[in-house]
Parts: sequence; structure tokens; C-alpha cells
Amino acid sequence: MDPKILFLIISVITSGFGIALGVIMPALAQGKATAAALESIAKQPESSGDISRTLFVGLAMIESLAIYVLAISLILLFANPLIRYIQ
Amino acid sequence: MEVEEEIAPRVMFHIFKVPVTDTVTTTWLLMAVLAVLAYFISRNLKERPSTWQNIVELGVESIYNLIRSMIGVGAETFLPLVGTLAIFIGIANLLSIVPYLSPPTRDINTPLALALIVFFAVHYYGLTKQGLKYLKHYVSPTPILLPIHIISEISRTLSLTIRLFGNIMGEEIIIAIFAILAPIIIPVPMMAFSIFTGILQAFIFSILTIIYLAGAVTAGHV
Repeated sequence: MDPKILFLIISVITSGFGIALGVIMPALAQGKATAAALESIAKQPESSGDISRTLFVGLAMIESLAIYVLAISLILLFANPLIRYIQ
Repeated sequence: MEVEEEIAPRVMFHIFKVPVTDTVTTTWLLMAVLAVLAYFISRNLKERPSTWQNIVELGVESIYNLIRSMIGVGAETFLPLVGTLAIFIGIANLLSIVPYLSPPTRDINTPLALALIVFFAVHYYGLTKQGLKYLKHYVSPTPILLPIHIISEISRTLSLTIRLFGNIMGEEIIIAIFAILAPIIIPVPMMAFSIFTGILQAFIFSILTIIYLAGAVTAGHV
């Protein structure tokens, strides 16, 4: 097979599986964090402001992991730097 | 290919052969609108505020309270920086729902510039408030950890950049794909969701800025 075609196929498959795997774990982690925050708000409704602010920061931190995977997938699909080594 | 053309920055014109993309022109437009608005709202401030003054005071006060709850005394030093970042990023992200305009934050250069402002501001305020004691946290508890401190400084700037860029870019890609598949009505819920994401990202960017500043200016730096 033409190496360029093979390269493209592998890039697409890698980015597809990468985004799938890379989203599963942050999703689980965000669910856990939100559940814990809701529990503690139910226990102490008076400190809900502090808890939700900290929750948002934590969610942003977790979410950035998924965003890294998205960035890598986008690079693989649209701006792959390695493709020029294939003639 | 169509999606790529839809979201990549378009070259508007050239100045001395330097291409000027629509990221830059949209940023200029935004700066002009914000500056003019701020000028006219802050002209005759009264004891009994008018409607506009009320709205702006509400925003300023909530940002101020946010900073004060994390930094404590001297919060008003950081109000201009954090407030400008929050307002600029918030309104820039909201441009995704304006026809013919695209948010400047979708180009990775804008988030990088904002994150670099935060990076230098953190060190500047750390050095002015704490003096040379600020540099001591790089070698605490032992000098072996110096590389790790430096890596964490770089990675926090990088993650600020990639987080803002990735969120806005991802949202734009999804809307562009929807618009290519089904141009009527279908993209509207996604665009409504992008309002929420845009505001949330502006909030998170400013919260993280406050946290980094708080870490730099208060003793016992993490």
C-alpha cells in the first residue's frame, strides 16, 4: 500500500481511539468530583459557595486532560508535522 | 477540508507583507468597543447610580469579592488585571454566536498571549510583594526540587493556553460540522451551549489567575 495512505489511515484510527480513551477517564473523574461536591453541599448547605467554586476549578483541571487529547487529535488530523517525512 | 476552512483564521489583508488575520482585526474591534464603552460609562459617576453604572458596579464588585476571598488584603491591586482578563475573554468567547465574527480565542496565539501576561504578572507581583524571599520557594524544601518547580511554572502556562484554546476550538469545530451537515436549526442548541462554555471558561481563567497570584504574593507559597 502507498505509505502515505497507510499513514493517513493510522492517523485517523489513532486519533479516534485516542479521543475515545482520553475522554473516558476524565468523564469518570468529573463524575466522582461532582458527586463528592454534591454530597458535601447536602451536608453543609451554608458552605455551598466555597465548594462550588473549588469544584469548578477542579473540573477545569480534570477537563484540561481531555482537552490535551483533543489537541493531539487535532494535530494528528489537521497539522501532522511528521507527514513531510513520507514521500 | 471544509471544516478546516471554516475555523482556521482567515487572512484579511497585509501590512508590509505581514499577513493580518481576522483574529487580530476582531481583537481590535473588541478592544475599541470595550474601551469606548468603559470611557462613556465611567464619565459622570454618581452617588445614586444610573442603570448602566449599576450593572457595571455589580460586575466589578463580584470580581472584587472573588479576589478578596482568596487573596485577602490588597485585593484592589489585582482588580484591573483580573477584571480585564475576565471581561475580555468572556466577550471574546461570546463572539462565536455573532454572525461573520469568530472568537479571537479560537486562534491559539490569543490564549498564549493571555497566559503569558498571567505568567509575567505572577512573577512581577511575587517579586514586588515578597522581594527576594519569593525566589526562595523555588529551592524549598530542597534544591533538588528546582527542576520540578520550573516545569510546573511552564506547564501551568501551557495548560492555561491549551484549556481556553481547546474548549473554544472544539466548540467551533462542532458547530461548523453541524452547520455543514444541517445548516438550519440543528446548530442552535450547540450555539446556546457555547454561550455557557464561553462564560465558564472566562470564569475559570480568571479564577486560576487569582489562585496563581495568591500563591505568589502570600507567604507559604505552594
